[in-house]
Amino acid sequence: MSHAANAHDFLRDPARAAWHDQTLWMVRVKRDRQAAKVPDWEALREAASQIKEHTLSRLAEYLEEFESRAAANGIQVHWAADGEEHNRIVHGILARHGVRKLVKSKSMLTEECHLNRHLEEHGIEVIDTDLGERIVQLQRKPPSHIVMPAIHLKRAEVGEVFHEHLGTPRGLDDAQELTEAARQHLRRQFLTADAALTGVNFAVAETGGFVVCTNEGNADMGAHLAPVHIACMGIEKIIPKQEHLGVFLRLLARSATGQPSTVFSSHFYKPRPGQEMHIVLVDNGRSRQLGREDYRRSLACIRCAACFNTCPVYRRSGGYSYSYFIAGPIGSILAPNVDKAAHGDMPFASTLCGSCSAVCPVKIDIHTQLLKWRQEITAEGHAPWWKTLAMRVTGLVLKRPALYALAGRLARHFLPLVNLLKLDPWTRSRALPEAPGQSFREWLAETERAKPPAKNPPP
Amino acid sequence: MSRATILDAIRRAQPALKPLPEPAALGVGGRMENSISQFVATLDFIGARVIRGRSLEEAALWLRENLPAEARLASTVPGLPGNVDLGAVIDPHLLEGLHTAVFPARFGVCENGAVWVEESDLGHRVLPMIAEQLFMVVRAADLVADMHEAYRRVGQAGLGFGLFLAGPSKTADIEQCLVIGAHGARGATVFIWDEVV
Ligand code: SF4
Repeated sequence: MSHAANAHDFLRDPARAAWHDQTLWMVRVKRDRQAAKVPDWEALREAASQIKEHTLSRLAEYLEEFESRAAANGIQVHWAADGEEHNRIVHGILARHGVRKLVKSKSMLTEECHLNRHLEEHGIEVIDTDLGERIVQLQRKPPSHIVMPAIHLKRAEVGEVFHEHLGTPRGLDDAQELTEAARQHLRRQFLTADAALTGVNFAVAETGGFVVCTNEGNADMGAHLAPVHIACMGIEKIIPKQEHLGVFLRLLARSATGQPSTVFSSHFYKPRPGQEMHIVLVDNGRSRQLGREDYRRSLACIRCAACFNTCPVYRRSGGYSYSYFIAGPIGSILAPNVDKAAHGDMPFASTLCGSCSAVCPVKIDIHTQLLKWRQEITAEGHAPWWKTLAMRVTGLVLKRPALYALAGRLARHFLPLVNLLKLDPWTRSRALPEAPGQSFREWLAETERAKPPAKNPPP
Repeated sequence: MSRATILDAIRRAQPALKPLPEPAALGVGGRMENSISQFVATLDFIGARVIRGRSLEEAALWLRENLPAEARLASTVPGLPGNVDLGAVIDPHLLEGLHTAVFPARFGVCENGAVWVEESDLGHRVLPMIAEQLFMVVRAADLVADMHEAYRRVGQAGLGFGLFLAGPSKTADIEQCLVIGAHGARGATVFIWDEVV
């Protein structure tokens, strides 16, 4: 289904849609407040952008440096060309250790690779431990937002899910009590897990270490208790030096949730004694995106979701309206790289207002890239036929002044009908303004005629 | 093994070298305030409790007065004894049920209320997550203004694990309602001591 059709469904409940819109806007406002408290905010964004651009221009070298340092620290490094290989590697490690239960902290990459399904098919129980992710996992749904996976759900709905799966009393809708129930439930999982899997926020070439940021402490609870820790990362998560973490950590939490820092910014350098630590480096289309000059900079993304929270389309259509597991503006750039036909309409789910680019902490030119995708997708014939037809006709008319004048006259004449019959989707919830009686050209001609001849014609 | 394939593909795709910037030259860093009052205000904002004292005895007194007598307390701060011998705990799972973890922080960061904690000061990496309450001890002289200054003090060689810890664990995953105490500690206290008056 297209984004527009899904969004239409989402908007069937206007009160709920308004609530979704306001909730995300609140996060955006919190971000603004924190950003304003940092006098070097714009310098930070510029530095982050340049560090990422540099890193992408030396990505292979930094990955090799990272690999050798990590290996020297006793971490086992694996390379996966695609999602399937990633899943095979992870399952291989788990199978070797006879793992029955895996606790997982937030990792959009494993979502991208459909790891949970793969492991479950092999009889391994996978427990997502981020609260929001656990909620949607119990619903057998994907996250609707990359930072706040259950942002689309109301308290009462979470209460329903917990009643069904965790045995909480029916009708419980207090956030504190629901969180407490999840805490007790997940504590038991942490204490009985055979292995832990985490994502990676930043991997540092210079040290071979990596950083995982959470507010809940779930990544740490898993990783420090389990005898096996697997960290999965896209190859673009590399940064050159440890000191660069200063730049990125100052930006990340402020941009994501409007906090000055995440609660836990954990730096893993070596496995703890007796523990096995693995890192899986995943390409899965990233090297292809790296070669696409127009979209290369999308690989600088640090997944803060600021572009989601500010996007007027995301806020009013919800994460499930997008066909790709990463929704919002950045998802709409990443998705067509994966499959143009399947996700070809995502770049069109934007007003191109540019708010995303204005908040992006690594200064990705998001709305420019969306426009480029639109052009490319249309040129390759992936746009819907009616849109292509409309553009053709518009082009035809604009090229011919006489036709244009005629079209204008007809439009002025029939505009009330467009409003009345709601012919244009835009007129479903708003009316086009009343058309003037005459066109600009008619007005000009009339004015010229009525003007007295100039006394001193210019030389 | 896809290593060679991936690296080849990257080499073919990566653009000509772009220079690595010097963040300080772009105006990054050195713009935040370094003061105890700033640190305290930030800790307050992120939901941590602050206690200020002249000596560790005051911390010991506070713990005696505020913790239930039967509470399991593990400490790695010399002079603030606990009743759980961390050295005797081999399996970190056995730390479940710990009431309070007391440990030193190397320094605090004024701009975000985080403190830097190293593995060697924890006994077990999971200590700051598994305990119900945290009690962190930092000297007033050990404050930095921002994260750039912070990383100048973070070592790398020989370190196994370290973290910036900013207040109690929290979540807002249910309808954006802030709840303190997600999977980690439900409360965090920072004891700032040795202030020069
Ligand atoms: S594109 Fe920018 S704003 Fe959007 S998630 Fe990535 S880093 Fe954040």
